[in-house]
This record gives sequence, C-alpha cells and structure tokens, in this order.
Amino acid sequence: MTPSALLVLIAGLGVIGWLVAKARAQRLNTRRDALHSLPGHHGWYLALWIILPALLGFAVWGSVSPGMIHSAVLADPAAARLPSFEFERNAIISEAFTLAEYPGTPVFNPEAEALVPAVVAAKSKFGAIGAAIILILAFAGGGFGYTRLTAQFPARTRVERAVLLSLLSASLLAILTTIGIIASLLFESGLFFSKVSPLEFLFGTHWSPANGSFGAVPLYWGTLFIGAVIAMVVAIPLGLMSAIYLTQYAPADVRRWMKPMLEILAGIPTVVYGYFAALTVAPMVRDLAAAIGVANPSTESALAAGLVMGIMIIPFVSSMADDSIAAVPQAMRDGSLAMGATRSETIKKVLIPAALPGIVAGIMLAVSRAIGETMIVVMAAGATANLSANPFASMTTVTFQIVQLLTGDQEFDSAKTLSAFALGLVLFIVTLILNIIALRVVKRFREAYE
Amino acid sequence: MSNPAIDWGSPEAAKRLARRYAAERRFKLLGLSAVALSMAFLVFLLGTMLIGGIGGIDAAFLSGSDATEADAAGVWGAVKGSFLTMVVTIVLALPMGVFAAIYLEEFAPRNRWIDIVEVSINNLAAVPSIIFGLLGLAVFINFFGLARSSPLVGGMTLALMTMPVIVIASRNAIKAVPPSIRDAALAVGASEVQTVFHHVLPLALPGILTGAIIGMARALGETAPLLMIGMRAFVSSPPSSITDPATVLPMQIFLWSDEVDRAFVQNTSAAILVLLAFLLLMNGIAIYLRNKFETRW
Repeated sequence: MTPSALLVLIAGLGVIGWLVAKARAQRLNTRRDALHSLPGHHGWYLALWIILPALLGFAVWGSVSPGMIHSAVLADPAAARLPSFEFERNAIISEAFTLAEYPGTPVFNPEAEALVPAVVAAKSKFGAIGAAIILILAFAGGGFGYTRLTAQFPARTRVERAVLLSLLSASLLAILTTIGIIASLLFESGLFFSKVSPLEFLFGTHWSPANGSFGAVPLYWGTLFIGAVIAMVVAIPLGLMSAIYLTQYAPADVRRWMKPMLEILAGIPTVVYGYFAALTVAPMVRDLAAAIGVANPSTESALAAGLVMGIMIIPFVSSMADDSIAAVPQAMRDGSLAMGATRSETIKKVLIPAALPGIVAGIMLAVSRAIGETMIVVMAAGATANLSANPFASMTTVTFQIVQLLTGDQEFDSAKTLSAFALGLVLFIVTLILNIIALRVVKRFREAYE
Repeated sequence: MSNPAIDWGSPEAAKRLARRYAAERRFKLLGLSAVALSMAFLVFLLGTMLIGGIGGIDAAFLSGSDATEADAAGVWGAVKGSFLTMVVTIVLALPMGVFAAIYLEEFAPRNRWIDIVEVSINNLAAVPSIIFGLLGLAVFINFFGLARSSPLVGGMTLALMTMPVIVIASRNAIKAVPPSIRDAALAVGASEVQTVFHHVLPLALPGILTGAIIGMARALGETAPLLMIGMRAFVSSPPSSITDPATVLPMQIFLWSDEVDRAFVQNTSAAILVLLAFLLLMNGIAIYLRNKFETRW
C-alpha cells in the first residue's frame, strides 16, 4: 500500500469515527442537559483518537522501515555476489531501488538488475507490515476513544486541550527554526574552523578558496561597499525625500496612488533586478567609466550592483521614514508652523530631528536587507575578491561567495564548501545585530510619543 | 527677542522672506523629483522588460519546458515547478502561521518564553533569505536526506521563510477584532476555543489571507534559498510530483540569463513578464480582498 493511500485511509477512518461518535452522542442526548459536551465534540474526540496514534505510527514506521528494507535486501541470496566495499555496494543497491520504482531506467551496474526482485519483495513485505501496524493503531485508538463515550464525558475540554497544544507547538516552530539556523550554521562552521583558523578567516586579506586561502576581509569590504555605501547613497536621499514629499506636500489623492506605486519597487523579485543590473545598468556604467577615463572598465562593477540595490531599497527607507514622521505628534508640527516657520523649516528643524531614531532604525533595517541580498550581486557584482574603493571595479560579496561555493560539485567535508556556512554565520550574526538594535529603537521610539 | 520692532515692510525683510520662500520651493521640488526619479526607475525597468520580452511570449513559449535551443525553450515546466513548490509552502506555512498567531494573541501567558518566541519571529522575518537556503541544505538535504532539487524541499524551505510573515500579518488581523466580540461570545457561554474559532478567526480571515498572499508573492519571487538546495538543474520535462527534480520560474530566469547564447535574452525577459504577471495577479487579489472585506470597527 502506498504511503499516500494509507494517509487517505487514515483520514477516511477519522471521518467515520467522527460520524459514529456524533451519532451515538446524539442518541445519548435524551433530555435537557444529558450531555456534557456537544455531539460534535464527541465526534472530534474519537476522530483524534483514531488519527493521532495512526499518524504517530506512520511517522515512526516511515523513519525505521528504510533501514529494515535495506538490510532485508542485503540478506537476500542475490546480494551475496555484491562487492564487499560498502560505498560501491550502496551505489548498486540505490540503483536497484530506482529500477524497482521506474523499470527501464538505464543503469551503470548490471548487478542492480538481479537485485530488483529482492527489492520489490522487501518493499511489499515491509509495506504490508507497516500498513497493518498503522491500521491496528488506528483501530486500537478508536476503540479506546469509543469506550469513553458516555453522556457525562467531558469531550469538549479534552478536544480543546488538544487544540491548545497544537497552537502552542505551532508557535514553538518559530523558536525551532531559529535554533535550527543557529545550530546548523554553528555545526558546519565548527567543522570549517577545525581546518582553518578563525583568525585567518576573520582578518585575512586574501580570498582564494581554490588554493586554500580563506581570508574573508575582501568579502566583508565588498559587501559593505555595495550594500551599505553605494546602495545607501542612492536609497537614503531618494527614500527620505519621497517620504517627506508624500507625507507633507502631496495632496491626499496623489499620496494614495503614489505610495503603492513606490511599494511595487519592493515587490519586484530580486532576480529581475539582477537581470536588469547585468543587462542594462552594467553596460551603462562601463561606458560611463570609459568616458571618464577609467582604464579597462569591466562589465561587472560594484557600482552597477549597488545602484540597482539602492533602487530596490528605496521603498524600505521611505516607508520606515513615513511611519516615523507620521508618529511625531501633530502638536509639534502645529507649534512650529504657528511660530512662523515655513513647511520646509518645520520639516528640517522639527520633524526630522524628532523622527530621527525611527529613520535611523529604518536605515539599519535597509542595510541589513542590502547586505543579505543575493541575486543582484550574483548577477552583477563579479567573482573576484577585490579590496579597493573604486566603484567601477568588480567586487565580490559574502552572499555571492556562498552561492559560488555551494553550487556545482559538492563534497560536503571540504573546507571550500564548509567555508560557505562560516560566511553564512557571519552574515546571520551581523544582520541579527542590526535587526535587534533597529527593532528595539523603533519600539522605544513609538513608546516615547504614545 | 531683542528687537521687537522689525519693520516687515523694509526691503531687508522682504528679501529675507523671498529667500525663505525660495528655499521652501526648492525643498518641495527636491521631494517631487525624488518621487519622480523613483518612479522613472520603475517605469524604465518595466519598460525594458516589456520591450525585450513581449515578442517572446507565444503559445509555444507558455507550453514548453527548458531546452538547449532558445527557440524551443518555454516556461511551462518552471511554472509547474513553481506551482508545486507554492502548494507545499502554503499547506505548511498557512496553518502553522495562523495557529502560532492565534496562540500568541489569544492564549499565550505573559512570560519570558513567549517573549523569546516573539523576538525570534520578528527576527526571522528579517533574516536574509539565503540563510534559510543554508538551513534547508543542512537540515532537509544533508540531515534528513530528502531529494535535492525537489519542490518538496523547496516548499519546506520557503515555508519556514514565509511563516513569520504570515504570523505577523495574522496577529495584526486578530488584534484588530474588537474585544466586544469576544466578550459577547464568552457571555453567552462559549468556551475560549469556541470564541476564537467561531467568532474571532472568521472576522480576522480577510486580513490573514491578505498577509498570506503577500507572503506567498514574496516566496514566489525568491531565488537565493532555492539555489542553495540545488533547484538549478536543467529540467527538460515538467515535474509530475513534489519529489521530482524541478525548477521554478525565478530560477529559470536566472539560468537563462546565464546562457551565453544571445537568443536567450528574449526568453529571459519574456519569463520575467510571466513572473511579474503572476505577482501582479496575487497582489491584485490581496488588494481586492482587503478592500472588499475590510471592516472598520
């Protein structure tokens, strides 16, 4: 029996249990207040008792049965002729599995053909055993649940407890994800740092993973130069001035239309920006470089990537600035205007200083977003690690190198692939610090004016 | 002030005022040009794609899969891969996100554990997407041994990325339901769980769905995490299940943009137009939902 058919069967049994329990509870409902809970609650109670043990069995069986099938295939007489070298043997067995599932697939090892009957037999045998165990669990759970069905049984509180438990576990998934990110990055980086000294990684200035030198300073520099310098030079003035114009000057109608239009810039996928940067902006930048007399301008430049990234960031800066300016109390603005200041004087001398913490926090979030941005730099920034302040030079970034190191051939224990996780760890820590500070500033800032 | 008697009619004062008004006009113009410049970028970007790609969209392009020849290549395989990936994402992220939001808004006690949950959700929403790719690679592929390049792993990775967005949107939607609704339900004898599932959740649903669609739109355009889990293989036939090797629409754009053959330039722009059309559709639905069902209490 296939796993999906089994799942459908379990769900079907659950529905039957629900109907049976509900009907029985309705029969017990002979007078007013005879039942503790609604018939529907009794239905859910029985359905949960059928479905949950069966699903638990399904998960446990799904994780142990592949090993059992594997050893059953090995124990088969047909497997006796397999080479004893484990790596080669496993390759043949995995080919036999593919053949059993998709007959006619071309194979490298002819021995695999001989194993197919054994694989099919083992699969159907353990599949049947698993299905039997799961069905027994479903019926046992259902039987137990059914015996508890009496008129005064508090089915509602039990079902609600189960609901609360599932709500709680959903919210714990967020912590689990965070722990998963930290644990996997730390684990793989730990392996990397056992091969390469952390000091060299953090402070070395030569990056060439193919030759075993892992000094990542040029990557940090490229990341900061593109994400925190060039992109911000574009995004901060444009974003801030757009926010000021839209909140302070634009008529309500214009604002209602222009603000969503501006937000479109944030909704365009980064791969589109990357393509735009590589195809349209980069040649323009190269021509510009040639025109102002830069020798040998390359098509891949920090400037092209940074410019396009800056455009992408504009809506982040402007919406954060928008919120912060809107949070400044009207009385402060009115006070300034009443004293005879013009609008622009009010904005420059009163609103912006008052909104500054929020604006700075918004910029920090934007920087964190920019340095974690991947596709634009992958497509437009270049692969050469370059420690220079020339915006027309090709530069590489942390995210670019992560992509570079992890795509293509993978041996999972080489220092080259593991260094990608160490770079990921640095990126995670930096963005985390920026985000925590920014979120805290925003929160305190909101409280100050509420 | 020390000079109470400013002569407002004097030429000095008039000049001073003129200077201040000129500064005012300059500032306003500066703001307007910032908006105009941003819009110009948007128009330029969309215009470039439209001019480059509109000629490449025809029935063969929409129904074909990736091929080595630019003329024979199409987007259907990638669209189907995206669709399967999004199905996995929404099936995992929507219930998990909504459940987490309900718990945090309606049932969570105020203690340090819940603070940690809240902080980690807010941070996850701002973690670079490529980090989720590293997580997917380390956990789903290397640890659990799931199939590389499959919509299953891609969808699970994107679900982890989308869940915080859905949690935050759902919490705001649930928070917006007035307490009087809850009080009324509790007063006539509903249990807390009944109150939430029969009254609060249906009223918060439009907001939740709007947030979910926006989160899905973000996931649909995402490329970097999927690069990490190997969804960049050359896939010449559409995937038929969530464990088959597949590619997604943004990844197809990335792969084609890397082709040396100039003939793929039109394909790339055309695929971008298809992707943008899907995003526009999703955002349009979100805006429609918000406008149609939004209740001001």
